[in-house]
Amino acid sequence: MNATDRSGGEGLAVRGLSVSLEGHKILRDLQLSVRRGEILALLGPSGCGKTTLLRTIAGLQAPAGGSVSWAGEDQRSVPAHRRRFGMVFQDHALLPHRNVGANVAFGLRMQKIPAPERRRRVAEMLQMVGLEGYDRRSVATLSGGEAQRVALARALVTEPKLLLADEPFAALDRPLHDRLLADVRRILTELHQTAIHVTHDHTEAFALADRVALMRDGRIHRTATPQQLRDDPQDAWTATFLGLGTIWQPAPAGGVTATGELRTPWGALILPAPTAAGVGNAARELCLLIRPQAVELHRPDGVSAIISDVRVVGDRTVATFQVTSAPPVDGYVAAGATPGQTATITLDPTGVTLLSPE
Amino acid sequence: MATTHAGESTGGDAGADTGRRRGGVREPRACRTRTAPVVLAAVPAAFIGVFFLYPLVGVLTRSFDAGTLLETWRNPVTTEVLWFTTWQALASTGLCLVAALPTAAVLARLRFRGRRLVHALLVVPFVLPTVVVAAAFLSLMDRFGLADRFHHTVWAILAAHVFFNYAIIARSVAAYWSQLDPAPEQAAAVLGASPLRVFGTVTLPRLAPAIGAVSAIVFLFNFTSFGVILILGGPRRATLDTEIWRFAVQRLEFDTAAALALLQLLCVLLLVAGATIWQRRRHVAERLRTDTARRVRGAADRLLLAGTLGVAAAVVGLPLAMLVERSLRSGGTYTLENYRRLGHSGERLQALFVSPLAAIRHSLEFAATATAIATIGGLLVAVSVSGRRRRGAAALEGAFLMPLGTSAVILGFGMLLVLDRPPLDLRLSWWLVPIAHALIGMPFVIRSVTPALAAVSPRLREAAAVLGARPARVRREVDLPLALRGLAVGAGFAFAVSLGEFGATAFVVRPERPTVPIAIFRLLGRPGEAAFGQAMAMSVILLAMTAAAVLLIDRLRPAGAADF
Repeated sequence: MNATDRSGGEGLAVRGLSVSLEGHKILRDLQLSVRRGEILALLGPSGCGKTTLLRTIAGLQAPAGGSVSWAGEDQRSVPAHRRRFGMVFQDHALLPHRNVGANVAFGLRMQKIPAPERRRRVAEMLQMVGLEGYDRRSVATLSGGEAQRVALARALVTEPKLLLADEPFAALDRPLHDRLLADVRRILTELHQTAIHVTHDHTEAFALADRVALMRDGRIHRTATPQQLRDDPQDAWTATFLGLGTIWQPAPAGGVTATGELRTPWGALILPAPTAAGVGNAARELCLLIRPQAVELHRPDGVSAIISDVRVVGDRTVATFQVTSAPPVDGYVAAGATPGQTATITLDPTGVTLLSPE
Repeated sequence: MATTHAGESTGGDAGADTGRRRGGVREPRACRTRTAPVVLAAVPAAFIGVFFLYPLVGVLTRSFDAGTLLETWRNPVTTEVLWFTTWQALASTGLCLVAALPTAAVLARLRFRGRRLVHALLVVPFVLPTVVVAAAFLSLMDRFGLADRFHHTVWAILAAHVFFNYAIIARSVAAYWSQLDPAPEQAAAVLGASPLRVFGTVTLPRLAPAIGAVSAIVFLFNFTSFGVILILGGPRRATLDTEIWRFAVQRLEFDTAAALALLQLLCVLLLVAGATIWQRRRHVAERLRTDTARRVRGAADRLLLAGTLGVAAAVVGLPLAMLVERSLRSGGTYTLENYRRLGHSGERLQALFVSPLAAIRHSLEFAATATAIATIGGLLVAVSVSGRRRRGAAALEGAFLMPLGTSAVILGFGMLLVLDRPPLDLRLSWWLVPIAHALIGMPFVIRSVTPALAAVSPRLREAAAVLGARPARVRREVDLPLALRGLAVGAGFAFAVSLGEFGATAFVVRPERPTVPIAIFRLLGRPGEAAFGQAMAMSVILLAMTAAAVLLIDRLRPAGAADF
């Protein structure tokens, strides 16, 4: 493990894990490691096995093969209630017959913590998640965001070795989602809490995690920092899933000039040196990620295009440009552009990334 | 015109069916508690084995061993009894449907103030003791001077059966109906079908599974009806069950009684098998909604509502009102004399062996004991069922529900037949009555607790486990508190059922320890106005005790819990 990292020593190690549910292979030979103090986002599309992986780590699902270990100790024979991992469920799973305080205190009670200390720690934790004085409230009266905070407090108050959060924000509206996300990031960092946060939303994963494990079809596709993933998605599937831009696949082995220029429907493209070398060497299929910022307007050498769609994304406006005999490509435009307008576009090579096709 | 039920016919088992109805996503199973359940069911299984299966086997072997089986079956009297048993059950069921379906329509489709109360009150007849119902109809006939014309006729029997089962049909059909998506009806209407046409071609076929299922149950009840027929039918109107009682208890001809019991069991088995096959065939995957009733609006709605409530009040309320009225009359004036006399054992000693008040005490003691046994046994079964896979769970649960499908008369007769010799010589035991009542009450507890346990989200158990709770602790901290309401409902039913139980009690009761229904039956068998008045007064007391238990149950019943 990296000694200079802010995180501590060896934490979770998942090796060769496979899980089947009712005859279907959900996880296949999966590898994953999480260092102590690290926040890892487990990011993947619906149905890729994220939740199953989390449940297997928690001990709620028996694996068909492989191992889960913590600090080098195999957890296979340790039942869920002795693993001392914390879990936040997507539907909160608050006990309906107990109030907020009793829900948060549940894990402490199981650990036989004496009542006075229990009360103190519950109060502290409720304060930390911003629910001071809520301990006598019935869980039925909580809003979605409040219930989520209670679920988080209940998991964290036991000081779990590892926090497992299963899409905890999926059902929340956007402003609440963003506020909770910031709070959770702050709380987890303050507590130096090791955590795995499952989500299908890449913005959430990027905002929260130190590292992101991309999951696909029951395997970890790639693990990297958010920045690495954004700057170098490496393959078409990742770029598409992260929504980084338009994927374009030219005709096989065609169109690269001797100078390393690539002929595209949007004009010749001088690729950055390493990329060009890669393309030049490749007598194989290649694939380009054209990010919105690559599309430049109003250049004299541009290609004529028609705007077929305009939409607002974040604080930018994105248009889809249609060029004859080429796939549509997305680029930023000034506010006020409307469908049907024509424009001349060129590609800026710094906004283009080479991908391996999939 | 397309009806939605045409396709998608599946032969799924009952367990899969309820799973679908809850509408939940299938949960991946984990955190399953595998160890305890089978052991848990062992105790109630032994109880059922000794006090239900063993007596049942006793009845069967007795009927074969006697050598008079064919002789009894060939007897023209038997044929006549079987014929009467069947046709009165058919006629009763038909009349019930005619009376109850309009009520079901209104309850299902209209939302009005007091709807919940009407629903709750409609349970009362179902758990009403048979002797109270019979007494109510006696007082009704008495009030209108019809006793000479109708007492001991089939009309009195049919009327009492309608009273009894009207609410079952109305409630269960309404419950299903109110959950049906109204979209197909609306689609048919848009396509140009008149309301009547819509009802005939869309609604009625969609309701068929519910109507068929409840009709089969009601037919079964009527077929095995005992107290009502014994009291209202008199000696000339005998069914299989009353004949079994007459031969076993009055004439002590056990062989003949066993032969008749075998015949009754075969008929019931045939009926249940037929109904099950029919239901499988008719099974339709309907997507059920929570409640699709609409508010009452307009004069037509109000008229319909008033008419329905009027019919309901007349069918259910009138006999009961007459019962109360009659209990307050003695010697031509309104008085509490009938009630006052209950305290005196003096002149009635001969008839009852004990005072009526003592009978109330016996009933409460028996009911409390039976409820305790049924609740503990039912809870154990429910917990063990909830920890298993669906197919196995359905079979296991079914085995424990068997006493519910067997007539109380057979149950009592079997116990009388086999529990009279060592090691189980219980002829003189106080326990025989509460044991019989517990057998009948336990299925109610199981049926209330199992759905409550099944409704506990596996997520909650998992959350508790991850927080450090051992499997046994999870059960105590999560399952038990959440199933407690269901348990209370089941216990209430077991208590009410025990209070009013007559069929099995009539076989196993000791003469010196009568229950309230037995005391009422004996009083009704005595000549004289005073005895009749006292019977009415006791019936009112039993009515009040039962109604109190039932209203309490409905208070506790969580929304969407099982209906019986």
